[in-house]
Amino acid sequence: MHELGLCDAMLKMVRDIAKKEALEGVRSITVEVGTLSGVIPHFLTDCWEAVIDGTELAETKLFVETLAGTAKCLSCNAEFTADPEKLLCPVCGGRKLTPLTGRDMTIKEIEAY
Amino acid sequence: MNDYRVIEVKKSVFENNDRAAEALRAELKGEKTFLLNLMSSPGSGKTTTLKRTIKALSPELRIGVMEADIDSDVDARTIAATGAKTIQIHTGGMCHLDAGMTRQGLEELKAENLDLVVLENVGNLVCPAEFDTGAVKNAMILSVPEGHDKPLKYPLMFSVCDALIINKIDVLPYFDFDMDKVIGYSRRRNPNIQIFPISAKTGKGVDAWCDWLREQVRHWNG
Repeated sequence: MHELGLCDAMLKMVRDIAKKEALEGVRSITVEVGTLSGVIPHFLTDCWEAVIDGTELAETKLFVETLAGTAKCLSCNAEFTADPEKLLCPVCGGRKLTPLTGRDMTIKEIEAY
Repeated sequence: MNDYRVIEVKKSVFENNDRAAEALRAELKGEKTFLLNLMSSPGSGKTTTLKRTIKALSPELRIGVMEADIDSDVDARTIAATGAKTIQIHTGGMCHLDAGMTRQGLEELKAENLDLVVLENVGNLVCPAEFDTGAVKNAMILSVPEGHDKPLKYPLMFSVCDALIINKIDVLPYFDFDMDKVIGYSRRRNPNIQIFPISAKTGKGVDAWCDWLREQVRHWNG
């Protein structure tokens, strides 16, 4: 999907942090990706290689951690881990769901020197 | 060796765009400009629907259009012929528009002098749904030939939209398109979605859509 755009946004964010913290270099970045975000971790790491090529962050590794998304059933109010392939309430079988967590993608931490 | 330090960041990658979108919406409120983000697949009849909409609303509203077609200005020229102020946004091959690109477009359009601006997003049912453009309302067009199962395949698009236009109802007899099913599937994803079956070609149903849009603009612009 738009992993390339997201990597570009991450590059800008990491540069801002590096400037603010007066870092010499960034060894790695760890991002958390929610399973309901639509972001595909494998594409993310490929696109990361592309955006850092030729930049001062060319050696920076990207680690992706997946966070299981949760949803709430609007019929019976049950809260559960949502399977993006099968959007059904496991309690009542309802299909009117609202996502609670897992839509986001967050830079968790960076390893710097 | 091993003299690395770990910096906790905990910042959303979407957050910059979300913040930019909120700021843009606040400015639009101040300027009394309503921004509609219009999304669809390619070939759903966005441009024809827009032409009808502009014709119906232009006597009472100052309208502008931002076209985000990836690499041509065909649509922009068609819309410009309606008399609405039109610009082309260049997405640089991106699959969607974000709040930053939308802001640049609004500045070029001088949107502060307009009542209604329609952002014709990139023809795609996936990526545009993920990025808040700063629009006041989101609408999408689904056309009959695309099939009634689209809400199942592209759930996010249907859940972020305030209005769903079902276009090309004039060809319903020729397709296995189940109107009740599409309405049911869409409401499953989004119980509050407003649904407008129309034919942009014949004009059928366009009044109800235009009435909804007019009401939204009035409400926002005070």
